[in-house]
Amino acid sequence: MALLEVKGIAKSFDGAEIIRATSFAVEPGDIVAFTSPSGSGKSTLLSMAGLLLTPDSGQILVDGGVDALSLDDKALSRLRQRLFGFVFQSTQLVGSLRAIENVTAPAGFAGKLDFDPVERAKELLVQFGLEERLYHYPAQLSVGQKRRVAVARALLLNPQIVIADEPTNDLDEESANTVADALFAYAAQGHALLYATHDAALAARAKTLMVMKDKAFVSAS
Amino acid sequence: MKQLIMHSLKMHKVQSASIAVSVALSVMILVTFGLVYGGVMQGVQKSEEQGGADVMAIPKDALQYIGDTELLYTGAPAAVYMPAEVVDKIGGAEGVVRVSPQFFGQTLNSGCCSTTGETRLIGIDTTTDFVVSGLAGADQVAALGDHGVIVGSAVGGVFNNTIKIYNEEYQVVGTMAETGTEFDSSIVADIDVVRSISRNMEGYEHYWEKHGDPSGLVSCVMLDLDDDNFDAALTSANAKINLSGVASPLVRSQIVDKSRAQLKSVFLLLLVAACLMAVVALLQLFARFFSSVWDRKSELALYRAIGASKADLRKLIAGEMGVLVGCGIVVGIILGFVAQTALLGVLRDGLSFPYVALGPAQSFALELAVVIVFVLVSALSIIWPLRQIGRLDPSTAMQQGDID
Repeated sequence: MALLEVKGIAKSFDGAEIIRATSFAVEPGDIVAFTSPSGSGKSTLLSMAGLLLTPDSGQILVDGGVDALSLDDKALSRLRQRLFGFVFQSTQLVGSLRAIENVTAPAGFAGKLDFDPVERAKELLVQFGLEERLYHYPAQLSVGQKRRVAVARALLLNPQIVIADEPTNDLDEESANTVADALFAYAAQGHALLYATHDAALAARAKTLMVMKDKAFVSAS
Repeated sequence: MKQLIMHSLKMHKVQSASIAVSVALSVMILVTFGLVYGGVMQGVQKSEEQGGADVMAIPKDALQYIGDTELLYTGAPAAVYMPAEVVDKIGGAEGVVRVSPQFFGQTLNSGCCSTTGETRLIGIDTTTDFVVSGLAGADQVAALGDHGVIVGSAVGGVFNNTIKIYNEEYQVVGTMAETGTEFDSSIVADIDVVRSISRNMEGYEHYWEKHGDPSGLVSCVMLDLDDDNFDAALTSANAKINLSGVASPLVRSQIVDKSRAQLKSVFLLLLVAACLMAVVALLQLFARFFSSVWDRKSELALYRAIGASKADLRKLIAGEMGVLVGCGIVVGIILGFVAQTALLGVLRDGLSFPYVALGPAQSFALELAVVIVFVLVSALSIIWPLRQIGRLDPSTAMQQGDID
């Protein structure tokens, strides 16, 4: 059963067509890469797939056929929280929160959890080699470390799908590999990974490659 | 959520503290105003309910030493005297139902007596009294004798039902009901007992040289007028008092009205100040949360992206406000109770009025009313910022950089 089914979603801004009807489905274990030139709409597509942005047309089905776009704000928010973990292009860490507080932030809106979010955050940060940086503020971290904190935050609530927008952008090779390995390892545990990249090597690691053709993303295969 | 609320407050320490202080000050003013206003109104009402004299005849020159409201509300703080014959002269006036003289003795303190604080000694004519009888009971007044006293509700220093005045022990035969005036800090004894104590009082010789022996003197005469024919009785009593040549009339209702008018201006000023402070607090809260939502658009969009619903964000902002306003209210209520004493002191420096402190239930009702006012003020100030949150686009998180 597909975790996520995107059917013919399209988006325009101020009359300019950005994404033409695009469809794809995501199943557990899937790793899907989206490649296209910068500014062509990868982030917009991922925002729509991640239910952050409402498409102008099309359908997004979850949980075996539930139309996510018909849900009210509360239900949509809870669904987004349960289904997706986001790694944003520019990390989006809150500067006034320490690394561990940034990672536990999603738990603040998740209601009662069956695990201790602080312990889980520590585990993740230690796993990403940040055991010495738990209580550092983002300004005290390198770009690579910040990106790892952002990945830890995305994984905190064990989402079924991780959506990563240029996750290795601006990183040195070692940091890029650490981040990418963490994301691929998570997907390998029965989750799914959708990511946008213009790094050919990173794109090549995906099971499915989606490329832009006539403003629509289609499978390269 | 709690962590994020506290984090945000910590991040805007100065702004948060200034808002909490502003709310606390507004609450303090409202609570102080409410407590003092309520206490005074209760005092005035009690004073009216307890009846007492409609008119007080005092020595002609007494108002040179003391104000009329002070004479009415502060018991007998002045050593003013006139011949006792005035009682008969006034008593015959048409419409005067009862007449009773009083003799003001000295102010007692712990240096001379067992009393604590300044306590006034007043002598009453037990055969004609109707003022103290109304407060302590006619039987108690009748039981005074040569060694009995009736104490005001705030008089301290009573041991084994006795009180010591200049080495003499007096039996406490009754306690007066609270009046909210300095009468509460007075001791009442038979008029001849007080005259006798005063006669030998060091420093009082010049009074007796001037006015004669205390046995022939009174300090005031209390008059009870016919309620059914009050205006005519008042005119007649005033005329008789003035004709006596030694006394002037103090009309209770006129003094109460004058005192009310004076207090009305003070309370109006306080109420305006409290309302202005509440408006300032409202504007500050609005500005703080409007700019907060605007400045933190990226942060809030991120929270939306990681699972917060619009309602969650509204709870976050409302929670911040709740903490600030809650702290302000608690501190303000405490300060209000403290400031009440200070305000009463200031008011009593210039004005005389009865005061009966609000009871626990009334104080609680006042606090509840203030809380409701500030909950409404907070709700008003946060409506617009909360509407802004509804317009936040979670996809903004995809496009923004790091969040400061």
